[in-house]
Amino acid sequence: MTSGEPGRTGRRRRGGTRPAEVREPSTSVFPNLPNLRLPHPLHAHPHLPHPHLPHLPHRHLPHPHLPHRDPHRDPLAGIGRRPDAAIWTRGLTKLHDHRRSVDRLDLDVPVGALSGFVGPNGAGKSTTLRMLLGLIRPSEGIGYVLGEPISHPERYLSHVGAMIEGPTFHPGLSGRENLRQLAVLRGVDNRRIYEVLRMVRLTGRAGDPFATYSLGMKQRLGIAAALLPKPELLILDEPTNGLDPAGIREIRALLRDLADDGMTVFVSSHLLAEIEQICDHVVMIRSGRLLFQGRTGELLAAGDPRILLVPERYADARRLLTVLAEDGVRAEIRLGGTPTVAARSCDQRVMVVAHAPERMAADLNRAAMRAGIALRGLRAHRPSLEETFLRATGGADGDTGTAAPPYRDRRAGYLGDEDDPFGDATLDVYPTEPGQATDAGGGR
Amino acid sequence: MARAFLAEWLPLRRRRFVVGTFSATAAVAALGAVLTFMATGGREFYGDYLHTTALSRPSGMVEGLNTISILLGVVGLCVVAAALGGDYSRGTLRNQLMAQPHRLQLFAGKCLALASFVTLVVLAAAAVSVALSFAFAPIKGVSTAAWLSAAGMRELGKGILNNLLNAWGYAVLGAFVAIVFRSPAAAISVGLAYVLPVEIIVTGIWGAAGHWLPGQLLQDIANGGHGYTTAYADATLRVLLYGLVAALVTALLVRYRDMTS
Repeated sequence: MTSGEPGRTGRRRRGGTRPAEVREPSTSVFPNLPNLRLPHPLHAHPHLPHPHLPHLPHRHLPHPHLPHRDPHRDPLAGIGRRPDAAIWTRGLTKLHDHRRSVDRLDLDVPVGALSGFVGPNGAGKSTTLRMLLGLIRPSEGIGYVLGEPISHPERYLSHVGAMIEGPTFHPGLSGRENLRQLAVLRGVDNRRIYEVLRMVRLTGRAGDPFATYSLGMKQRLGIAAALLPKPELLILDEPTNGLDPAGIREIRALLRDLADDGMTVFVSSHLLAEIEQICDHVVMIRSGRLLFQGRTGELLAAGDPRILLVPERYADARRLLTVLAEDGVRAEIRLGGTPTVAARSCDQRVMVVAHAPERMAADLNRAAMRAGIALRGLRAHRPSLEETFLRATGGADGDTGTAAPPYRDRRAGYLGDEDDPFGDATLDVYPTEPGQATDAGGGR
Repeated sequence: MARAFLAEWLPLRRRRFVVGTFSATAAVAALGAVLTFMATGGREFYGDYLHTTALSRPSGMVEGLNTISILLGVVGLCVVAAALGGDYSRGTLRNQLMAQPHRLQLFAGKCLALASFVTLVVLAAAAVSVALSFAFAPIKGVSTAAWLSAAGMRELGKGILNNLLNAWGYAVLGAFVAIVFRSPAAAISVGLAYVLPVEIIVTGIWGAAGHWLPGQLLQDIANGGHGYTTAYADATLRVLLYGLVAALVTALLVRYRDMTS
């Protein structure tokens, strides 16, 4: 059976009495960033206008970009897959009863990338990884790993190393024996066991039973097991779980080295700072649907960059806001701390947040100078991946099934309430959206 | 499949597991031999009266082994259910499937390894039982001359083979429940609950069911058809049929069911 037709029809038959659920296709939450997902080569992307007939309204079909053909019997089914993609899926879907754990996921993970796979709990990350590894069969859609269809995992798994949902080994066997069991199954030389144990710095405890290992050691052993076959593609699910800071740094360096050596690394993690630091490519999903995939830098650049201006005098803040608005820059005033009786200390907490990229910092400085406003401080703030991620996912826990409305900073647009209980000078995680009453300017 | 076989032997070779299993088997075999010889001289044993003359026959050497056949079956069921169910519940099967994605080959290799382990268990039980039989025979005045004859060797071979078939039958049941329930605790408890109380109660209420219930048929086979109403050949055929159906369903589940645990 392939990953396409039979499973899909079987599921449909069981759910035949239910009306077909028509859902909006996944769209990027970053309107200023071109969605890097490629339309399926055989069917135009459903939410993009037809390239030759742009006037035609697009219709939301239940499965708009699925080829609906068996990729193994029909040689044309997968012809559009990028030859440089280590992981390539189109319309990958997994139904559990009537719930879509993974919903028409189109992945493109380039060969040689160190790619991060992020999403809230229950977003469908592990289910996706299981499908890619042939552990579960997709309900719909097609996928290729290292150029081979996921319905035939035996064709590519000898070149793939993976650790899914934590390290799982026989508790009564030593770390070395556990690796030996997998090495025997894979037909890997015993010397490789020593090599991978050394790579994860576990040689000293390799003879101890797995049950006696700390969480960090178990995690290292899991990574060692994934490295056993000298994989072309390494898939790791939360590889730094349970590791201490030094261990995290080591694993980070190890993954970077592996990627530098040409290995494609696909890392699922909720430690977004880790992903931001090590990954040059990121895939973001929520509720089984793709939110973004592409270069990490592009995602971060699209995440509402801001410039923080601190006027020397508190009274200039409102005037600065007006000046920026005249220049078409959307901005708001924030208080960064609890005001005190002393006017000077109150002044120190006033800042004007301009929603503008870093390259405009000098222009804003000049505009302030022209208006006679002296700035005590001016710095650019680029949102972290965590901020961007929370903004994109609405800060929701996927287990709830629905995305909670994004948390918004209660200080946004603050105009001088001296009872402000927030005392820190850090920025809010969620930037103010256009149209809020207290901001100024039309944005750029 | 050879790799899966060799890989499965690694956890089976654990010292604690080997010592525990074989110690328990030896103890059970010793108990069977002791009780068999203690029962001679007029004591009722499983509703029969054993006489020294009966034990002096060529088949007397394996009487002790036959008395513990059900326990050997339980050991076979537990070993297989614990190994396969444990692979599911721990998640180690996931790792193994990523290393050997041919599911049926992996499963067949694992089952062969487990079957070979069960074989060793039965052989160990037979060795202990036979050795103790030779030790107790002079004490109870049982002649061992026929045991050492060619007929005695044939009876020994038949007895071991029958007990192997019995243990393998229980092992197939263990594999079936392990794959269905994907948990060692559930598999062992359901498997044992079925072959012990459920079948015994059903057979007690409706005796004819004993001709068809797999656990009862396995007992018939273990005892070489002696003392039971179902003929040896019929029992073997029916058990073979049950075994094939169970193996088919198990293979289909292994091949096509999602690895979600």
